[in-house]
Amino acid sequence: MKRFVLRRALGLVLTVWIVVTTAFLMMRVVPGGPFSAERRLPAAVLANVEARYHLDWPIWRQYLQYLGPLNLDSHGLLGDRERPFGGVLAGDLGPSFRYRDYTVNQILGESLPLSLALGSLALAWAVTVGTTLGILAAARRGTKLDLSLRLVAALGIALPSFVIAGLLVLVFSLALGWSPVAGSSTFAHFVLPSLALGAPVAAYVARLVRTGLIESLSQDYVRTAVAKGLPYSTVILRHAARGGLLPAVSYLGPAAAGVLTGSLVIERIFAIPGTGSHFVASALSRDYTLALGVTIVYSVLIYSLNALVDFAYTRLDPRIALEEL
Amino acid sequence: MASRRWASPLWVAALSLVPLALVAWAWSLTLARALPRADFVFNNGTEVSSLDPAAANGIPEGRVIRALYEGLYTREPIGGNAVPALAANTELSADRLTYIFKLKPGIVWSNGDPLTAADFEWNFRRLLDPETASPFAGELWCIRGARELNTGRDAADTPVEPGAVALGVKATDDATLVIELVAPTAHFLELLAAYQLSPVHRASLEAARKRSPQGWTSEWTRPGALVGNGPYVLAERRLNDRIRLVKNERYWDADSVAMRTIDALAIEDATTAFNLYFAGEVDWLDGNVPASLIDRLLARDDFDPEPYFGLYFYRVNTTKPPLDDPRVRRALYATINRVQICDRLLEAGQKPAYTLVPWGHMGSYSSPPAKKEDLEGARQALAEAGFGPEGKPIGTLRILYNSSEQNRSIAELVANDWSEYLDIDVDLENQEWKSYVDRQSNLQYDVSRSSWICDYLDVLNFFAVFTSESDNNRTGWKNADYDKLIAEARGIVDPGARNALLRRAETILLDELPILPIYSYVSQNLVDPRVGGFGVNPLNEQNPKYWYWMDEPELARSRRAQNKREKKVSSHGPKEGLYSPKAQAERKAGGRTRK
Amino acid sequence: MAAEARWDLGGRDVDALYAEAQRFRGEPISTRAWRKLRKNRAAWFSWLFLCVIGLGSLFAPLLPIPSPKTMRPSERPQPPVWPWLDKTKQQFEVDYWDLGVVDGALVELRTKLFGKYQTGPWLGADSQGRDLLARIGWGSRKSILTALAAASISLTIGVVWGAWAALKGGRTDRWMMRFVDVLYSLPFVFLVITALALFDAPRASLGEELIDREVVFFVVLGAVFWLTMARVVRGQVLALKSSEFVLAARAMGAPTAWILRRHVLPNVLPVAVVYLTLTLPSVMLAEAFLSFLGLGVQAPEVSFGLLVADGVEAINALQVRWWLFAYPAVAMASVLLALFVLGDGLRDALDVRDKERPA
Repeated sequence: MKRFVLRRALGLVLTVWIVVTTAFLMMRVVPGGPFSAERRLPAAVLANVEARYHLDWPIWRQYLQYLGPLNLDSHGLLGDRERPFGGVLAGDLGPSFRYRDYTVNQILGESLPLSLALGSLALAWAVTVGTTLGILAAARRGTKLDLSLRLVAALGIALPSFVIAGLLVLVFSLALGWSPVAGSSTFAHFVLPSLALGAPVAAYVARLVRTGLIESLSQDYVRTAVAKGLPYSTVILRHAARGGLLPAVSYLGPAAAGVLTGSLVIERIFAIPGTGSHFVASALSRDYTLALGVTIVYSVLIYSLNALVDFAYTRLDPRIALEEL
Repeated sequence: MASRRWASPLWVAALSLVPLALVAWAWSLTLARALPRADFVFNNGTEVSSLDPAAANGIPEGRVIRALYEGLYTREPIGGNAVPALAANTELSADRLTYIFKLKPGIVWSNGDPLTAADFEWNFRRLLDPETASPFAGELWCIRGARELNTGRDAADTPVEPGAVALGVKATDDATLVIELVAPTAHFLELLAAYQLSPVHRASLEAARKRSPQGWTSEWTRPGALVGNGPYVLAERRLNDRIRLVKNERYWDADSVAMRTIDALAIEDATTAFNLYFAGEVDWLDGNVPASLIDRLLARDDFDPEPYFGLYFYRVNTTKPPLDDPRVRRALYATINRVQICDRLLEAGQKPAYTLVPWGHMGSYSSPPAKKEDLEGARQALAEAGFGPEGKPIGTLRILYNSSEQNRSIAELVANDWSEYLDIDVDLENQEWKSYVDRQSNLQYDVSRSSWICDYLDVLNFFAVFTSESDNNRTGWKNADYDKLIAEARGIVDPGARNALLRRAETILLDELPILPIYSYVSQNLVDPRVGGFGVNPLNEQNPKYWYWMDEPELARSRRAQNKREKKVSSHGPKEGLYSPKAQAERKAGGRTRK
Repeated sequence: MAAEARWDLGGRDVDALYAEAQRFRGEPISTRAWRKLRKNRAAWFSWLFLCVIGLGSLFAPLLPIPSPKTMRPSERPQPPVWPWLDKTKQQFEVDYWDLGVVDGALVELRTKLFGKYQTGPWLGADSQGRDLLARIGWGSRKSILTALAAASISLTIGVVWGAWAALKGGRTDRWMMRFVDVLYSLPFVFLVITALALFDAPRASLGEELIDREVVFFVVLGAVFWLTMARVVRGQVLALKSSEFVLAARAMGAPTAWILRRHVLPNVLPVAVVYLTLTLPSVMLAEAFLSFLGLGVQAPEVSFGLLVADGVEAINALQVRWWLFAYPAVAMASVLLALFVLGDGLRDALDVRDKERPA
């Protein structure tokens, strides 16, 4: 257990470092800068603005500065000007170029809880409903119930989330007036977005749980349990579910990272000020620090959730030992 | 072992509690976000880049900053001209180089501190300080010493010490501010009305800087910390969601302010904002309305497009053959079917443009008569240049534009005209915003979509763009006569003489055609019919100070004065109206005399 | 004991057995899969449906539908009209964007075949008066072609990368898969936006039509979707490497190339085919998502994504133009649904298991 955690922590640091380096270079190679605009600033003013954010430094120095306190100042490597911000290692992701009153930490601090809340709501209902429906469909395999559940699940996967969102708005906001159109100030505002956000997840989970269960129902140990005369429900929930849930669990790792960091489409349609919109806007406006900030959050989340999935595997499948991972 | 752990009721219970806990957490998070509806809610279209007037440079920023601060001058809602705000009295010396401003007495900041002329002196210095890095600083180079202070170099390009620069802005006493200019500048007062020149509170900035030397820039603009002098104070700011403004009772003219609370939303999706307007949760939408609904909206009395001082045009790369030949550019100019673009594509009342100045006139200035579409003339011009059926082939032209459906449609129509009438192969090339801006700046294009929105109500703002040394020229076009005329016009104050010079400059430009004007913009406000004090001006600048809700009788009166054919839409505003204390008193007095 | 059992042939002659084995020819994987697929009614129906849609969209320029680009401002917004009630008599006009050689020829053939005839607004028209049926036809074409192109790119990169990593093993394998992990941890939109901007730069400096924007779009999507394919293929090849028949072939001294051709490739292909059918809908969804954000297919060309995004805009409080929302959504959903069902069917038919986990 200790070794597993240690190795994963090391892997996390390594992955994030490579991700930061890759993303940093990609951002800088792309044409256009954070302060290039249709209404161009006079060269001297532009120089002032860029100097304020130390964009006039050579790339390698900006990169070292962004990574954080490697104690380069003492060697005079970072120049004599005051250090603009702490850097990644110090947990300071720097100032945003697009939102000049905010640091990246503040932006994430404001938007991430909202995305996490919305994502949690979506995951909560999607996993509960998806698993239940998947088990039901597997237990009643081949019946009309199974068929209709599979159809609904397939539809949930086949429709883009903004179509589902549009449908929900049309029916529940515009036609019936049961729900607010958009916004984020009350709990009611989060109901439709979380439904739209969770729909594809619920559909995938139901599908994976169903196929997983059906496969594990054909295993010897399950057949033994049935032969021993255990009630069917007990067999499914106690014996079959364990192996049958594996595919769903491995899907949920990366899916949860995507849902929790916010879907920009859903956030856009329902005007929720979460993190999702920053993924697109920061890259488009060349807000270097913010783009790197959201990328780091995403990669940390996806790596940790994958580690969590691997851990869950050892709990669900005793044949896999932690040490092997 | 593992199996018992998995199947034990405790585990199952714990697992099923997880979703419940998540829901509860999300619910508790939303509890803190509840806000009662503001008296007036508008959609600002995007999140403002900064609440620091010196750092901001955009239209959405202006709407909020005008609520939070007030400068020496401001713009009146009708017409948009510069009018005194904090300046009680303005004197101009005979050589038109020295302005002396007397401040209104008893002006205080929102925390009670008195506002003095020294505050203004410090603010001008701060705006020009390279460390502030204000994008607006370049506009102030007409002040003595401003350029040196801002760039750290003097006219001969030798470095100067910022401390040694004598800036031509001085507070001679608490109520007097003297500004000295390098040369007479006719539009100086228009410039002073720009929101970027609003003063900020020195003490709170310096305190924030002392508290956190690194994060101070983001600290002093927080609700509670931000000290302003405008009609409203910042009560709440939620990034990408809303800015809540509450009436500033210490404002010198607080009696004229009606709305007690205002929300500025940052919704970018046009359909979402539109749906919120119809649900009564938003009272005014800026121009961002769904294009597919314009025809329906025009029939309603809450949507009235008005002329807007912006020009949509194509830049031509005049350094690249065959476009370096003015005759070729004239041929291109004369074959664009602008009427089709305006009437069939845009439809909101935009007008074909044939001149540099949109709508052909601004204030006392009117453009010289311009040539219009002329297919025969175009073919002739092209033939004279040696191209066409008997001459050399002209090759392929590429129209560069930033990705948007409307830009694409216009480019297609233009390409169609050129290939049909001039037999030129035209390729369309779209780029995402930043790449497009980069290409245009580096002259890596043939023809490129562009637009220019006026900063302040002075035509010179348009003319200055195409001088040789302008950073915004980006056509490679250089004309010494044009430059000379503009430089001369800058120093002249008499409108007649100045306009004559500018007309000559515009004639040169329209003869050489480094740009191909296409259409003049309109503003597209969707605003609740009950809103009063809503300004109609060619800059579409709105000042929250003047907004109020009309009561039933006034609404009926204003509707009678309007276009009768438009559909009267129901209003979401309060039926009894909402008036400022001053207006209430006047109405009471007026009501008594009428009886 | 074991050694004796091996030679206990039940009294039959070894040579006779050998001859029998020689006569026996196993059914090829593809034939068996095809047979199994035909038995699966849902998958078979999906396959037929996709064939019809695929042919229809491939030959959309040939159908007597209006141009998807022609705007008719006088007629908008036109609700759907049933074909038997259709009174509009619009004449067909050749009015397209820059069509390729093939498309141009098809449109020409269409004008020869049907002359000026064109179908009426059976599915309605959009806010610019463009015919929705034509737009769905051409849009499906664009989406399906994009998806096929991007999926083949992802297939090529994925198979080569995954197989190479697995065969090389050791440090090469570790670094190659680490690279895949890093790309996995970069947000999808970040990759797409930077890649699009990056590919645009050389396009500009070349100043030639060398690289089409479309091609850039395919390459970028393909470059994002090969990751899963690489992982899956690697897993399969690793399993094959240690399988008994490969070991046996090795032991008998078969050359590597022969093993690759004879044993590895035939066993990797089914997995690849199954993931290809599952990549197609993912690419189409991604295209829709990017078009919704204005980063995907550019007007006047159409795709499912653009149509559906327009449809979402049609849902507003002033006027709901339901057909703009319903028809594109139904069209897109049915194609994706069929692809999913077919993918599932193929997975069963080819007996491919999810070998992605544990990594």
